[in-house]
Amino acid sequence: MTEPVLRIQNLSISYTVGAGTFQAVSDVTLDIYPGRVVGIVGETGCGKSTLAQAIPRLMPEPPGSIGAGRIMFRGTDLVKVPKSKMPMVRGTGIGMIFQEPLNSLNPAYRVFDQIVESIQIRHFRDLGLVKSFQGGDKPFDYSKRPTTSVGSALTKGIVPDGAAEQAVKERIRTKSDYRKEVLDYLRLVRINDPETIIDLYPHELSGGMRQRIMIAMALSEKPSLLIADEPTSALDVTIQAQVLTLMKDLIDEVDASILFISHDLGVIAETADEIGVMYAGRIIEYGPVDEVFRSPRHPYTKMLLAAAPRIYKADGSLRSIPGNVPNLSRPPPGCRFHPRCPIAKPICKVDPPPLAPVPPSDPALAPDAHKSACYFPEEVPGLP
Amino acid sequence: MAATPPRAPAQFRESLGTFWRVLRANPLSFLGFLMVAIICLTALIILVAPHLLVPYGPQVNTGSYSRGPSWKHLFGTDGNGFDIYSNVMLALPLDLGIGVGIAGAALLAGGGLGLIAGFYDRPGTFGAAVSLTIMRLTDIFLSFPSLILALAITRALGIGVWETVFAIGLTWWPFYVRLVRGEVLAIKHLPYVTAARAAGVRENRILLRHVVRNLLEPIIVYFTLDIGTVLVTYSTIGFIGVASKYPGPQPEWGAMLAYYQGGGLINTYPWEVFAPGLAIFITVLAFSLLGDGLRDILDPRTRRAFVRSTASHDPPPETPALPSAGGGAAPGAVAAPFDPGGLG
Amino acid sequence: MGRSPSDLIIFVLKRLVQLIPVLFGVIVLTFFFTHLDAGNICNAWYPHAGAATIKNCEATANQPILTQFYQYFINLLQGNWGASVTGVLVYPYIAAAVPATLELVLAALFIMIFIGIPLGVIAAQYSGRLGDHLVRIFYLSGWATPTYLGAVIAAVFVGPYLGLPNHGEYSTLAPPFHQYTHMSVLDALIAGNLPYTIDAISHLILPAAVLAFINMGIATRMTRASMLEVLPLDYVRSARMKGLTEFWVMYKHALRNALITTTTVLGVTAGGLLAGTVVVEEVFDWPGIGQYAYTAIGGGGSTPNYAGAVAVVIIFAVAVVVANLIADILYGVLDPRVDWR
Repeated sequence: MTEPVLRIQNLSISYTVGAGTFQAVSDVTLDIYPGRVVGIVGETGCGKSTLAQAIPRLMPEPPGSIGAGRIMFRGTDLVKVPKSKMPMVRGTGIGMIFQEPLNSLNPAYRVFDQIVESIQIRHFRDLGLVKSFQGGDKPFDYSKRPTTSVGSALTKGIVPDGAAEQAVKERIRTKSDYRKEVLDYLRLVRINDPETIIDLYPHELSGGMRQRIMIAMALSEKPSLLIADEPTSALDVTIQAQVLTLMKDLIDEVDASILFISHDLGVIAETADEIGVMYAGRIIEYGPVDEVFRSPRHPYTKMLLAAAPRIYKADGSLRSIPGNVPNLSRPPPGCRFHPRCPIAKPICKVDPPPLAPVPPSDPALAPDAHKSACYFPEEVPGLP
Repeated sequence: MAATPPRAPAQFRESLGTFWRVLRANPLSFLGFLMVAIICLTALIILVAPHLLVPYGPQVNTGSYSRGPSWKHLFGTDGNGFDIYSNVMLALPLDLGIGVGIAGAALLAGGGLGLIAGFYDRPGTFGAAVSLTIMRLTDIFLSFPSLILALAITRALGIGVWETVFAIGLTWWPFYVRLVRGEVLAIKHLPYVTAARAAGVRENRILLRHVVRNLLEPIIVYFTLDIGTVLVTYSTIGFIGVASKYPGPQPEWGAMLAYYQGGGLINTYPWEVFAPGLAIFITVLAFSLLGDGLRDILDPRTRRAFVRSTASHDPPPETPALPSAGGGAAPGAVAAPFDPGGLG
Repeated sequence: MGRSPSDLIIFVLKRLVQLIPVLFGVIVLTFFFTHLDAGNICNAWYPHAGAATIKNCEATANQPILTQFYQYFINLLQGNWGASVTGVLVYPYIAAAVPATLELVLAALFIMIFIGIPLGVIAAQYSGRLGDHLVRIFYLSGWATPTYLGAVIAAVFVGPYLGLPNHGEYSTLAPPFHQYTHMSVLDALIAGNLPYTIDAISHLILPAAVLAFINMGIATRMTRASMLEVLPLDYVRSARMKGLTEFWVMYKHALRNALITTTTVLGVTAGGLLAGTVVVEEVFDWPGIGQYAYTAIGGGGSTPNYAGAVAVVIIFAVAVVVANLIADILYGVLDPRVDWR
């Protein structure tokens, strides 16, 4: 088996606010293998965005702090990397697409300047012109990035004319070379009129267009891992569908390792290979998307799926989960879902259940492929 | 800039508590607050009962000439045998009063004109013509550096404290017109005012109530800082020698400094120059520290952040996205600087 | 959207046209305020003239105020700005003094931009922490220092301590070359005289530094405030996520946007710098318009010179108007959302 690109082990993140602390993420363990898309789904406030921002250490510290755990990225524990060295990991190592495309582009610079900046960062690191990050178990050297392994997982098929190899050969590139490459990326994200768009300012673009630019910017650094933090949530429904189609196409084309965060089950179902369901800072169910959707083994997942509106449902009724998301400064003891759980037993109120393998419904799957943090997973299918 | 309903007394007490907490969390502004309080108290004592703090009169020959600072003469004496400490202290109420007085008068005059110019902006009406005249006049006044114009006016009117006060006041009001008018216009286009207008509530009534509430914060900040600026301007005119005469029955810091510095003996008797200079420096610094900190404190965004980081009660689990104030570059339209980032 | 160079020309021309009423208003106000004390006017404008001229002037003073203003306005436009008590013509003197003041103000502005703005960035970066407090104490000290106190301390104590001259533009009274521009450093450079260039720069440092220190607060405070507004925005996070180091995130992405609002205080800065020159130039004996204003207004017990005072007030106001114009144009150039058409 290959090494995972990202291996999160027992990660806990808390925010200190005044005298109180609240646990945004507790004891999360997650592996992302090369070329796989892992989706994280959960309600607003469940800690999924905190998790996404903690991986490239983008969350403000303080008030946020990583209490325990490791974030192993290509053999280096990012938790131990000093904050001043994190920029060397960002961009080319870990790329990110944000939720708010409207404000995520710098209003003072043209599209060309913003994308070319990303390309130059990668270019300079490839050439070894910029100091590269060394640390952790394995050296992290951009100048000798392998061309076939994990590091270039995103390289395949991105640039049609083989500009990647050319980039390493030519130490000095002219503005027109850069312009050509930027245009390639704009075409990659299906922008119809790249020659015009390239010279525009962000305020002259629509929301969907800006999100495409953001995607192009992230991809142009050819990151080993891409984190998409609700990339479609802030867009109109029709634009959402377009960007989602683009993301799906790119995932197929580029063979990327992606962590896809969304509150929308439908989005995750369409894009991800594996799904992790988060509730109150914990991953409570994990498994292949089809498996989890077909036979959920945690009452929360089951109820979340039932609550998801489906257009074709005949009775037209909307379901909701009774109760409220718990206050994370004083989470309920035991299983955090027990106050809202229809099958809660006394033990659920005392000990938090571990994320343990459950027998998969599809016999072709590995026995530990599907995991659930419930003491009574066998009772879940019986729920309405 | 969220719509806040009028405050009940309990809410007012709570916000006073918030103010106090925030002041404590911001050591520099707290220092400024303390200094301002002490300076005002001192000025009051000197006005009411000068003998408590001032051992000598303004033109009393103490019999010791050009002596350095000692316990008997805290800031030393000058060549006339005057006690410099006494003269510096006696100048405090005048200088402070000038600062507060001019800034206050400018606030009232400029603020009133600003309200008019902000309220009546519908084109084609008589009010709009008045507003336009006010704004054009303001633009012209703002073109003059206050000091220069005030100097020229003082010169034309004749030397004296009141002439100088009048001259500075004449140049000072336009800043407040700009400030108040800008604020009124910004509030006019806030969603809740539009909503109230749509509901048929008389616009000026809502406006006046909200304008007063929203104006309080920027005005307090600006006014506090302004007291210092007026003081420096006045004492500069005093230094140039167009405002007050020193030595005289009523000392003034700028004139004192000019007199002692003019003697050319600053190297020999530095305390003569430093004492009034330090007095101005400390007074202005006190108001600047307070005013500069107040900006951070009264700004709703930072206030929220401060309260969150000092309060002991539970934080809100969600950081709500602040609504943009419609006016484009409205300064209140961004998230708090200590926002812990989208919490999921 | 119009953002082509030809649109920029229209943008600038439009603002120039808008200036005309303001400039006219400045002249009217100056006339009005300097004529408040009507009894003195004739003696002040024509101190050494013969009885005929005085009589002529008194005839003017008795004319309707509008006629008087018309005469004054025409004289102003013709460069006939009057003379001082000693008969020194105002116009040529001011024409020579303006470049010296411009040099001083530009040097101070240079210091403010390259020290004041980075200080504002640092204060915002470490907001609420020690770095912020130190920067604030620094700029508030400048704010609280009266110009004359700062100038006197710099001239009497700092200058001799650092070995910097505190008097005039050059160490010798007249430099051995022709002064084309009346800007000390520039003239020495044009003459190719290196020792004199160094001498001129060393004379410039102290007054410029005092002027900058006094006015630093405006630039630093505004930069700090606008940086605090910009820093929590999403595009700053995007810039960080690109892999840029904190330096580039701050200075290329955040400051670039914060500067848009900072330019709006340029007019205020100009007013403060110019007002500061009155005292600074007097203390450092800098032959500029500030020193001229000091004497024309009757500072330090000198004989007042109304003709000079009027001219100086107008010149200062025009300078502020021009600074505001530059700020306005800069704002339009820096903010891509401004339509030039």
